[in-house]
Amino acid sequence: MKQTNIPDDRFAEQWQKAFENKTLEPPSHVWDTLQTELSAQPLPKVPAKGLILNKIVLSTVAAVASVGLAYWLLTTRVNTETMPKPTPSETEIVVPAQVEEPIKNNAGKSQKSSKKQELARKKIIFVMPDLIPDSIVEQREAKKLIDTVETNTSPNIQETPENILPNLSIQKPKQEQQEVAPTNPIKESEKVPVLVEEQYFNPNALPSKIKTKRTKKGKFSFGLGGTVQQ
Amino acid sequence: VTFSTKQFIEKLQQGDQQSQKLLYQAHAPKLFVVCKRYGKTTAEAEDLLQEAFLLIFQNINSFKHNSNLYTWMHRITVNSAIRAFHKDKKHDWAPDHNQHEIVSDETPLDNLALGDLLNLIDQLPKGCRTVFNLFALDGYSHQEIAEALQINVGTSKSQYARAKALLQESLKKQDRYYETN
Repeated sequence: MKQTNIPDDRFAEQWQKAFENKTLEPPSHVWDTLQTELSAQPLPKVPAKGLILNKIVLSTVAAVASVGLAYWLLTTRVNTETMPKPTPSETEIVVPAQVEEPIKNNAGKSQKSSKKQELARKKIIFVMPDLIPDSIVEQREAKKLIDTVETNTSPNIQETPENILPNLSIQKPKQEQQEVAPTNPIKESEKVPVLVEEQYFNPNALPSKIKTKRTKKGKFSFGLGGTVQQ
Repeated sequence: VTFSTKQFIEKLQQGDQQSQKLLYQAHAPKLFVVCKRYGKTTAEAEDLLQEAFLLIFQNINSFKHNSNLYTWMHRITVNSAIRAFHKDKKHDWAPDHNQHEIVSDETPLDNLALGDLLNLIDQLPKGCRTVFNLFALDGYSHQEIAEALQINVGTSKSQYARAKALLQESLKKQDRYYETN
């Protein structure tokens, strides 16, 4: 394509000069339609100076108030941080005693529920400390003392002679000593139910026939939830 | 900005109808020429002018006093024309021709009336005309045109070259016509 020999800028200048001061009166109906459209769409009004001043004052006050609030929040936060926090043993009281009891009928379920309880306890421990007022803490401490007394005398813990009179040494029968010792290697599978039975449960509550079933890799599981490596 | 102009703009900002009419009467004839350059028909040009003034009155609060009011209004009018260009999906561009007559740079534009000038521009295909208007008469660079019309810079340049050639060709034909008659 062959181009014209006039430079672009000069060509533009010529046209700009040609259009300079050229005007064309638009038809009157353009203004009429414009007026109708303007009345249909009200223009955004500029607020009066007084209103602007009021706005400035209000925004300044709001800004100062927000800064003050932020400062107050920060300072109060520091105060709570410096306060002595309750120890985990204190906060443990928050968890109700009945929730902590494991379900003994099913071994798997009891493990899961205990995990849940642990998580719940942790949650309470991490969330609560700053929010507990002193009076409530005192009340809980008192409750804790009661609970500890109750748990010591609760039927879940076997009333062994050591628990009742820990300072006295009582001669135990030989057979019982062997069964209670946890380090004893269990070789004969027949003895295992007896061990479980005496260590954790009331022997009267045992079923007459204990079912055994084989699980993975030579483990035996018993009806009461105990497993023994073969 | 003189005090009176400042006061006038403040009145416009407050939505004073008398001031709006004064502004329209002062600048509409100039801006209507701009609209006629972009619009293919008179009706199209009228619509563009109407839309431009509506935007001017609606956005007068954003006008900064340190700039020229007419320049600001002109910019709004050109932007309206660009928007109208995008609304119209069919854009005809000037095709490239391998054979083109070399013409002299002596163009008798000064002697032409507004109607003749507008007729010359009207002969250009729409895309080509828009590029010509933006570059030659409204001071846009090819980069700005490419961004505004969403085309390549190369397309903008080639369309402007085509517009230039077509306009000069038309002028030469017009000269010959006047010479023979």
